Amino acid sequence: MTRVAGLDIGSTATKCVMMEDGRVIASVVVPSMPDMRVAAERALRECGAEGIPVLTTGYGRALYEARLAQVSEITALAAGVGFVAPVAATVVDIGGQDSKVVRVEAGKVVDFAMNDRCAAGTGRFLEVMSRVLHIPFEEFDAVACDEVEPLPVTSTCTVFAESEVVGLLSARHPPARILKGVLTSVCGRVASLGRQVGVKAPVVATGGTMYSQAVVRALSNALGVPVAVPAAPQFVTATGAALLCARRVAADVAAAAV
Amino acid sequence: MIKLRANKRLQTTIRNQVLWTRFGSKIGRPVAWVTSGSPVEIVLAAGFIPFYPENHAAICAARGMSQDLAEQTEAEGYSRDLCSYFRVDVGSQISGRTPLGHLVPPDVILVSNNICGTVQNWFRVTAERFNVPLLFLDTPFNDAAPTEADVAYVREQLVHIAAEVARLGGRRVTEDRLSKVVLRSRDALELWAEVLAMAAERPAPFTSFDAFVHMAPIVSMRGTRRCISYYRALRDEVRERMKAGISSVPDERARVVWDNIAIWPVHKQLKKLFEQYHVSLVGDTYTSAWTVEHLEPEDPFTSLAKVYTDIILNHGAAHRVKVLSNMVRKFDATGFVLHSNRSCKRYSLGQFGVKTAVSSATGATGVVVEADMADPRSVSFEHLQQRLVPFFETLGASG
Repeated sequence: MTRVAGLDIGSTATKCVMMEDGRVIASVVVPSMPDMRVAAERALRECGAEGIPVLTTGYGRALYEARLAQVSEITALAAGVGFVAPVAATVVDIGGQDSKVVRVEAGKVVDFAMNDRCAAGTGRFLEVMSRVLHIPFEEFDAVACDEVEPLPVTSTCTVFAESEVVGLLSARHPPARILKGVLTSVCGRVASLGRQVGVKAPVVATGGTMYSQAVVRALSNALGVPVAVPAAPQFVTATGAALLCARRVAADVAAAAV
Repeated sequence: MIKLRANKRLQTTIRNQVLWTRFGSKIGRPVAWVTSGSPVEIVLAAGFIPFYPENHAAICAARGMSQDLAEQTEAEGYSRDLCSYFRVDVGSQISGRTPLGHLVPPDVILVSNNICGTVQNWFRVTAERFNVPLLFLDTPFNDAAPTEADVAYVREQLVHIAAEVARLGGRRVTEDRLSKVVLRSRDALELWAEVLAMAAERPAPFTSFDAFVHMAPIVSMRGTRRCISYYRALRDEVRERMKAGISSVPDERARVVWDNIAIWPVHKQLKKLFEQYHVSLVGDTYTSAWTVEHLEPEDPFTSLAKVYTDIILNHGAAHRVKVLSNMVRKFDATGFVLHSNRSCKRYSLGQFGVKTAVSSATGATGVVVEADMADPRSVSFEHLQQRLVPFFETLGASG
């Protein structure tokens, strides 16, 4: 009975997944801010994963010093997808600080493209727009439903798009149509990122933003292929980290036996 | 990590070169400012002392002076979107600040558009500032290789340039004098090629991080005897390391090649990151641009015309795919990094297509990183790390 944990210290949320003998037995998400180090310790505590081997990933991965090892979130994401959706050939992840498209094969990275220099095309863009439109993320699905026709919103820059949205609001356009335009814009940007590595079906989407069906639909439309979302899209990277942790522990045990 | 003894020697060599330029100009030797792709052999044969503003800009960037100097140029109204080497060098001309003590002004400027179009304007501005003649060599862009007509066209200009530099204070450039200089260039280029080729060994005794630094003499001193003796010593030392199995990075786990100019503002940090992940940067398209073949002393004007028209930046993306793919195979690399250099459009154009083509030709994994060769405001080490770490992990390397 070996317990291990994967800790994904992201820019917005810190996710912890605990595994035992290849099964996920607990998972927890806490906000990363204001102190990522405190968030990491809190996530481990709430998950009941204190004192067991931990492998960290995410932007804050170096902040948790008691880790067994650390890997980049791309590697952890690929490992996690290999576990929750082994048939996937492409993973699209829209995170708080970046978005990424990863071509995978059996839990390993084949190629990847990332947008980490600009907030347009990331969860941050959605956060900003949600605030301007006064529509909380939880209400996206109810507002940006199928019947609504999107209004064009550019995807060059979050700051410019924000003033664009303010302009649309002051011209008395319905917020639902603007929100749909915002989703189309973000997903269009991610789709162009995908074309850098080639989007091969089946496509799986991960990250906290995928809890919204409206986002998933907009992404499918932009990519032109159906997108599947695993049961806990926010925890895929942390799950991958836990798996890599288990592998590391097993390798260490084997090495010690020799 | 065992440091190269040549690192010390390099410092001395560069310092002596700076002193020689200063001393030479004091005793009346004329000075020519030249681009890195100029046929420097002609000005050397005419007795000029060459000075390389591009090289100077790189030194400013590596010493952390580039932002300040670039801002001087921007304050005169030049756009921040222009080449950072241009902004750094002109900023140095405006302010008089340079890590070399002071700049020795040119008597003549020699420019070729074989590396880019920016240098044409850069040196026009410089020629106006110093009020000196500007000699310009036009090299036709290559579809495949230089045609006979191209070579004839460039040769004619070279003969004209030789006559002009003689008229502007130099000696007469006879074929005999030129042949001697060309021969010295060739010897140095061959030694440099030998050094770079040794990185094909496992583990690599020498990496591109070393090459980026040790390229300085081949750029700015080729055609001189000191350049040959510098590379002979370097070659011997790298050969020694190779025979002793000394690796440039500890415990080499992956091998990668590089496209484009170095990222000077974070050169040392980047070198450390590669070492931390046990990745050897075994080759690059930049420092190997000074390993040209076919430089023949027999008919020096024709030979120079061919060589200076055929350089990598004077070709399209298809050629770069070929060069990079050959390099991946030759150095037995499993990955390649394409530096999308904000300041060098000519070098960075088409990199996403190059990436796909090289991957399908070689099976190696590629990654594009965005940065700038000299402007620290356009370089984010965090971003580079975000791209490179997962790339290294994909190649099976870990920190």
